[in-house]
Amino acid sequence: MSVALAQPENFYQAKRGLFSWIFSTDHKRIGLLYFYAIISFFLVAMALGFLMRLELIAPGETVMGAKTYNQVFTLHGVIMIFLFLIPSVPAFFGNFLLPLMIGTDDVAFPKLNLFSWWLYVLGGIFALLTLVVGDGPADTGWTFYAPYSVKTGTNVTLAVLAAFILGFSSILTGLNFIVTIHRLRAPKMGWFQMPLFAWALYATAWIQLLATPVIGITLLMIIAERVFGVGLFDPSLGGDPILYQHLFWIYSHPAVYIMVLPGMGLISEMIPTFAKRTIFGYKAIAYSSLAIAFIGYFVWGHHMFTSGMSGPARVIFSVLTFLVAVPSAIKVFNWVATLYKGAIDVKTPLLFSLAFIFQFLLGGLTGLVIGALATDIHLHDTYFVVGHFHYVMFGGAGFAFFGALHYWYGKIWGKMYNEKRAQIAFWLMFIGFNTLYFPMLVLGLMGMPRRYYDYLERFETLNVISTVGSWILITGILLMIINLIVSRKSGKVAPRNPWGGTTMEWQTPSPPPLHNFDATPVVPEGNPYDHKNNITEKA
Amino acid sequence: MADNTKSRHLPGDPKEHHIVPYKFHIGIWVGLIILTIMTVLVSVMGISLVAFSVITAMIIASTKAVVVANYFMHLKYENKLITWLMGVTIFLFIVFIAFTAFDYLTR
Ligand code: HEM
Ligand SMILES: [Cu+2]
Repeated sequence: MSVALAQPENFYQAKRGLFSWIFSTDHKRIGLLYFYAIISFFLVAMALGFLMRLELIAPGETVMGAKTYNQVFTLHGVIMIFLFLIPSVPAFFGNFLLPLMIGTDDVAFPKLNLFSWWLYVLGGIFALLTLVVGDGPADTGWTFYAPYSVKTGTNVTLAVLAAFILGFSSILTGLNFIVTIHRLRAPKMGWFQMPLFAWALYATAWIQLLATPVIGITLLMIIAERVFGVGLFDPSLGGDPILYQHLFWIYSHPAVYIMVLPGMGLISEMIPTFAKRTIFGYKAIAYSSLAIAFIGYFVWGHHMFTSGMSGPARVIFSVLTFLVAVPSAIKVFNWVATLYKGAIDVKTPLLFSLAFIFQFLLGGLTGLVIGALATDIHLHDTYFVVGHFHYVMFGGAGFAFFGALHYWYGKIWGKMYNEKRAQIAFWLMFIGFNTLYFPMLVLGLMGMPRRYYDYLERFETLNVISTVGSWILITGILLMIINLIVSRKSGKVAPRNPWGGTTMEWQTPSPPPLHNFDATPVVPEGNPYDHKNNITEKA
Repeated sequence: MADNTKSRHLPGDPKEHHIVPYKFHIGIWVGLIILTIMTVLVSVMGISLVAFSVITAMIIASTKAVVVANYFMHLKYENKLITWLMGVTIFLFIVFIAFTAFDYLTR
């Protein structure tokens, strides 16, 4: 190791062997454990999505029948939501970056952190077991609506148990981050000197901690009804199916913000770096994260407009839904204002961020269309809703995740990715994504219902376009992944601060040493995105 | 990581070791007993209260819960954060019940 004398040992070199990973309490290693698990599940669910689109390339049965199709979209949804989107940004980027960004050596509860990963793995195994046990995966949709979920012969109990366990993993991550942010910030770092990603994680953590128990109890009630015949949701047992929808969406609406808020935090990090400008409206962005987290608790009824909920309740939920768009719009305006007159450096992370803004905008605006009671009566359960949530969840949260993967690639793996290949992959993904999902919005307006393996002939053209889009998108994703794998070997060595970032994680070597910093990190004075404060030169 | 927790100040570690005398705890306990007796008395003899008996019982029960949380469960001596956690949870719980009940009552 004589050549590396100047450079302290990095956290990969500090310990070796399988056990040094799967029993590690180092936040960086746990973040990476999460990453490899999350990306594997993502690829599985992506393959399922590919199969669904293949089935829909023509009317009638092409590659699978009705029941299989129902099982495939359920498993696709369960994996994408509970195993990819909910943990992706907090459990991977949050774990890896939060302590670095606030200048500390680990999260508050390192052992709990490891435990949460093990729970995640256990939940993932349960979800996969539904494939091979008994009557196959659940065919209810990821929402597990009663009374069907109580009656179907498929593996609902196992799938619900998986979601239940994954919920606990999410709660522990949230708890850990709240305490870490309160107690472990570098001594000189005030609340308004925290990077905006930390603010986003903080707001998200409160949702994880306070909303997740509701879904836990609801899922246990499903099991109680299935296994012991307790009449809770099934009318034939004296239960009420609408009660299930209330309980489910009390969690699941806030949960959509668990998925997208951390992604918004990532965007707030990347935009000022590549615009070479201080973020516009730092406090507005920080507070809007808290506002989204809070208002998100009052709008769940917008998923139930056609369920038989009372008229006055529908009107109130519709009005409240419009409120939640305000803080989201505040963020979008501030990002755009940050770019205005910036010295823009077009690199892959910025491209993903711009795609995020565009796609999230479309997702948010279509959200308002279905948030309006009158229009939703027509659009509920059509492809319009499928288009809406893919624009926010994949076009938003997913693109933020992939952009961040490029932005912090050097910090995490110590090498730089290949820029040219990354940009080609980006354009394939961007074009593929919009070709895949935009037609769904139109199909929904035309009246094509969601969750069927078959459709009327007049929907064919747009469905073919959509399926072709899925091929382009998948090609882009695979190219991106290959580029990232290859760059670990062939990439240039990453300097501490390849992009000229201003937050504290750029002060440490790439990859960081075991205890995160080789010298006491300096807390930037004032606004964390002030480029005058840039301590480490761009290398 | 045992070796990098030296400078930590975690919520687990009490900031100030608060020593509460036994007498104080017994006092609280007697107070709770008195409140319990009140609940019984109200339900047995407070016929004149009619519609208010439920509300009265709820108020007494909530008072007891607050006392138990604050003194027996040490909320009063803990970090503010924990009180916030508790408060926000209770608030959201009320919101969940209230909105759902509103749907049922207006159907
Ligand atoms: C501007 C903010 C938003 C508004 C106003 C909004 C509104 C809505 C409405 C009214 C529905 C129900 C439509 C129906 O079923 O008929 C819906 C569905 C959905 N939204 Fe949003 N939304 C917003 C943002 C988001 C975000 C940020 C995400 C996720 C990151 C998201 C994810 C979803 C999902 C997954 C569904 C479908 C659930 C299902 O039935 O399977 N939404 N949205
Ligand atoms: Cu919602």
